[in-house]
Amino acid sequence: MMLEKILIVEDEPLMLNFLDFRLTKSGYDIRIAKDGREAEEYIDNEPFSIIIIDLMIPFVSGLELLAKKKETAYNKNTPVLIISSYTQKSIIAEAYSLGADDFIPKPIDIEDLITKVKILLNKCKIAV
Amino acid sequence: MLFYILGIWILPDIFKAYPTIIIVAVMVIGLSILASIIVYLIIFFGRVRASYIDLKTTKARKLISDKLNHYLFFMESVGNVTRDDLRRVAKELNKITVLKFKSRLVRQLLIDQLVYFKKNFTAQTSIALSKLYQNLGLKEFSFNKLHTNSWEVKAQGIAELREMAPIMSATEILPYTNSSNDDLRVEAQAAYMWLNTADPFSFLNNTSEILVEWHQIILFDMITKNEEIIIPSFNKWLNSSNSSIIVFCIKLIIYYKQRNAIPSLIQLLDHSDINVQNRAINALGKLEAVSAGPIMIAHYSTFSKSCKLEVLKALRRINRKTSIKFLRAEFLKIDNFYIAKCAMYSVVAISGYTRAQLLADLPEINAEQKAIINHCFDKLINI
Repeated sequence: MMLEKILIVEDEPLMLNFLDFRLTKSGYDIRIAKDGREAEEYIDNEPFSIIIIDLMIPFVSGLELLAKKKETAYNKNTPVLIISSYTQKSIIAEAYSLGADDFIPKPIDIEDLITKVKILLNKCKIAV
Repeated sequence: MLFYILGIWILPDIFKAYPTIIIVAVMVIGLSILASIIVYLIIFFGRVRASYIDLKTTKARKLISDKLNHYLFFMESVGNVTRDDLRRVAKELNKITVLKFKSRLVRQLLIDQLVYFKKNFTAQTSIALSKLYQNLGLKEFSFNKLHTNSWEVKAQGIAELREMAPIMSATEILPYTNSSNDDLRVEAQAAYMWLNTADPFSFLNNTSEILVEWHQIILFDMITKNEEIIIPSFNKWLNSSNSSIIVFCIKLIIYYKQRNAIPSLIQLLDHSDINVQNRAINALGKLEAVSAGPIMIAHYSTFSKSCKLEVLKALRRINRKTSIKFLRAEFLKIDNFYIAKCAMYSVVAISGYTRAQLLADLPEINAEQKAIINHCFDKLINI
């Protein structure tokens, strides 16, 4: 059986390592990007079931990445889960307007994150 | 002279035949080369050592991160972890931190990662991290930092205890809340508030050091972030001998709209510190303390210019028609432009007069006063 492929875009190595480990344990195929440029390359060349983006990443910001994603061939409809320690309403609203599907503020409840990933994946399957 | 003697002493046979200047020059060159070689060697070995530590740190960081991930996953997936389970996992981590590397550096790396995870994760993950911190004896490691001489290490220990340790640490931190070192003091105060949520501001009773603006911002951030903090009546610190504490408490009284503090704020109108007077007047206005209006007017002539301006603004906020007569008189005095302008703004705001009504009511005003009235009715200007 093909595993659902998830892209995690996060610049903090510890956070990245932890999310990678936990989502792999939950049965997903994980790709990791440490900055916006790496993430751009991934979303241009591979389809993902879901993308998890931290808003504050180097080179290309999370919001720019969201805008860019819409123009890609493989991932224009891929759901996006935003994680960020920035909880200003304006930033969250902008993320939603650019196509984010859900938002999780830091500090994160990992169980909550895994549940949201499952919900988004189920929504996608129903839509298809 | 020194180089000459040195030259004769090291190589007497060769140097005896040469003039003094040559001997000195050769010795200076020789010693410079030697010094350069020593410096280069120090740099080289320093860099080798730094690279070794870097390598060791990277390796340890990766190992700790992997073990921590496994540990957290184990803790969360098992659910009710027994004490034996916990000990087993803690022992495994302990092996890395104590037996394998036998190093404070690695132990510090583990604490850094625990603190990082604690800041970034909530719920079960957070609980599991606290348990691990306790079981590995890292709390003692952080506590020991409080007894070192370096304030940086003390501040680091306090920051770790704030993030990882339970309420009992608060009493240990209390003495540092009045440290003469700014950074240590604010770190300790923030930690104390974070850990002692039942009585978070009790450190204010003993703080003789100044609570500067940026400390106040940090403490305010701490109060608003921790929902468990019980907000006291800040009234009780308004008679503190430390003016900066009074100012901080006045700001919090305004933020939490503690109207029970109004009588104490009125008493501060007689305070010797102008800044405290200013803040108290501002607070009375913002709390819309009607009873304070006539008292501020009675004290008005004794106030400084900045306090007078603050009174005029406060009267506007209190918004009682009984103040209009006083405000009108202040406007007509025109001994100070800013006071006249502020007084007129308040008259306009309280009375609700139109420009024409005001001009009719004040027929004998001069051109400058007319300009002030026009200014106050300009909708594009907002003060």
